Amino acid sequence: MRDDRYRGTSLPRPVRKLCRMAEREADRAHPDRLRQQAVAALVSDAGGEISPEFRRRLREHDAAPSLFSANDLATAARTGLEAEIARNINARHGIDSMVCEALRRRGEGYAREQKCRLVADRHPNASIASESVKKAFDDCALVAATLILDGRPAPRISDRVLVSENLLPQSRSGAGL
Amino acid sequence: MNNLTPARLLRVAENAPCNAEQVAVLGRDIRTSSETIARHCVMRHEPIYEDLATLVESMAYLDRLVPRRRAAGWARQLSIQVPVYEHGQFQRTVAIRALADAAWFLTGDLWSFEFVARKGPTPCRQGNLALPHGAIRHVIPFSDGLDSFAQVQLSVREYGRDAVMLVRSGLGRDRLFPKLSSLRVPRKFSGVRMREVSYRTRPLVFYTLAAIAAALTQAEAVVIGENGQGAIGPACLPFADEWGLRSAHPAFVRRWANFLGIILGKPVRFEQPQLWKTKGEVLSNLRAEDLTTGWEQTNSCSTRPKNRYGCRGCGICGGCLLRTVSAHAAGLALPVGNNAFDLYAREDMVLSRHGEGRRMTRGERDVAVRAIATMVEFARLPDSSHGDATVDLEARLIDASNFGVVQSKLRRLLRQHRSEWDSFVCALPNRSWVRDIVGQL
Repeated sequence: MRDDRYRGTSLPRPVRKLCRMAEREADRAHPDRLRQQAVAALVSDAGGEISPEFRRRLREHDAAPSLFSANDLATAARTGLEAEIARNINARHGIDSMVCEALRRRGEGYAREQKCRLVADRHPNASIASESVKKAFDDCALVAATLILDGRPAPRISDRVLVSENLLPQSRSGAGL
Repeated sequence: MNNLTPARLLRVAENAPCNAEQVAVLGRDIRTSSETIARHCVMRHEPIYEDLATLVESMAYLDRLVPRRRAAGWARQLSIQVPVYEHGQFQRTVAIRALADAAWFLTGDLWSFEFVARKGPTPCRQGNLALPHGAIRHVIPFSDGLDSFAQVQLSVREYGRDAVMLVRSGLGRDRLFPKLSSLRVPRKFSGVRMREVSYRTRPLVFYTLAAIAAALTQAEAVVIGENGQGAIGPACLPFADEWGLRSAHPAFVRRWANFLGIILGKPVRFEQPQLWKTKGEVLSNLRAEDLTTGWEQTNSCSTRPKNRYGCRGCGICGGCLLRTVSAHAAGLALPVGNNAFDLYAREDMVLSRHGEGRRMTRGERDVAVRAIATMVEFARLPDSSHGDATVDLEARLIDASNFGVVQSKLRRLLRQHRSEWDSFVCALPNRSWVRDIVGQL
């Protein structure tokens, strides 16, 4: 597997790590690890792209939706992620589902980027790997949204492999799909 | 927030200062002036037009100067100080707010503006001659592309040759419409290397120069000929964390028209008559009206000339791919040898200038895969799990007050795109490099 495949791309480091994991069959066999890494990637994105001011507006809107309108939130949105969250205000009810949907769309963007890179490289498992990434983002978006709204960091991920761990793939089709 | 790429304040100055600030000097680093437009129109050249041209060119200069740190995030913090003659007009809160909002919506960057009084002599007023007032009805930003070509043809058919004015960048010869009133605005940046390639502010300059021409000639509207796939498609399907490409998005055009209206003190009308049509439908329309003469001389390619191997287009970028698909939909044949890479070929081969064939490079394949992926995903959007949500979000952005109508127009556009794309894929040979890529996406 190439280590430099995502070098120079627009993917942030935690996302690159997730993409590399999804290329490995052994990691795809453990979708929980992919999800953990996806949470870390999304929480890291939010740390850089959601301002304290926007968080405050979100909480205000959640507490009194009729008092703080969609316009207030849209006006406060400045970065891509904030704008995406604000766009969901009319379609979604709770703020956790607004943030969750924005994170899902962000995850789709990352999966799209990865898939193009893999297809361009004629990677034999381009679809499987990018579907694993997309699924990991989809599955963890709500957890990540809760952490982001609570202002909590992503749980630390241990990269250590246990001696007792079975690293062989669990199924022929590639788990995690 | 820590993902914003910070940039030093860019001071746009009339003269080169001695200190080492980040300065762009008018006339040296930024060489566009609305005076060219006024001279062409032989109309009164107001300082406000000069101010607008200076502002948008300064924004374009700063946009290209500061590279994005893509792995850290899309947005940059861009601060700019611009000298203007009509200081009171630009310094108003409502104007700055509208400007910052439109610039943010287009580029995804956080812009802040400071206007200072311009000290140099105000532009001379020209005499009123030549173009009769009210004769021009449509001012069309003309890019040598297929969409603007089609729009010119349709506007000329509707209102006549004297009612249409083209606004172009550069001083090149007008091959396509030599008999039309065509305004060529020379543009040039110099001084430093322009490192940022995304260049999202490009439409700001063209729409503004066209709006100045429209104001000077008292035209009815600035008409943007972009089709629906180009105007709305890229914003629906961003790659990674990029800001949606909204160069002809109606929500951006509305914001920019609002800002121009505030500054000029009168409404500026922009029209997008092809917004709900695919490029294939626009071309079919042209064909039905017998207006296709010269279409093959237009240019849709977005790559550098050296990547076109002496041909008119590379054949594989998003622009070239959409052109080929649309020509197929309209039943028009692309001239042989028009593109470096043939989408209908079995192999992804290109002939070099010396006549030797070689395979596509890794970078070229990357470009081709992205272009094909965008077309495929846009075609699959109505059936995808997130398709409804995407359509609803876009419809709300375009016109929240008319949500239902916009939503159904957008759905129709997507269905038409899918039909044209499927038809193109069916026309590919059974074993072809494009079909291989489509199969993997």
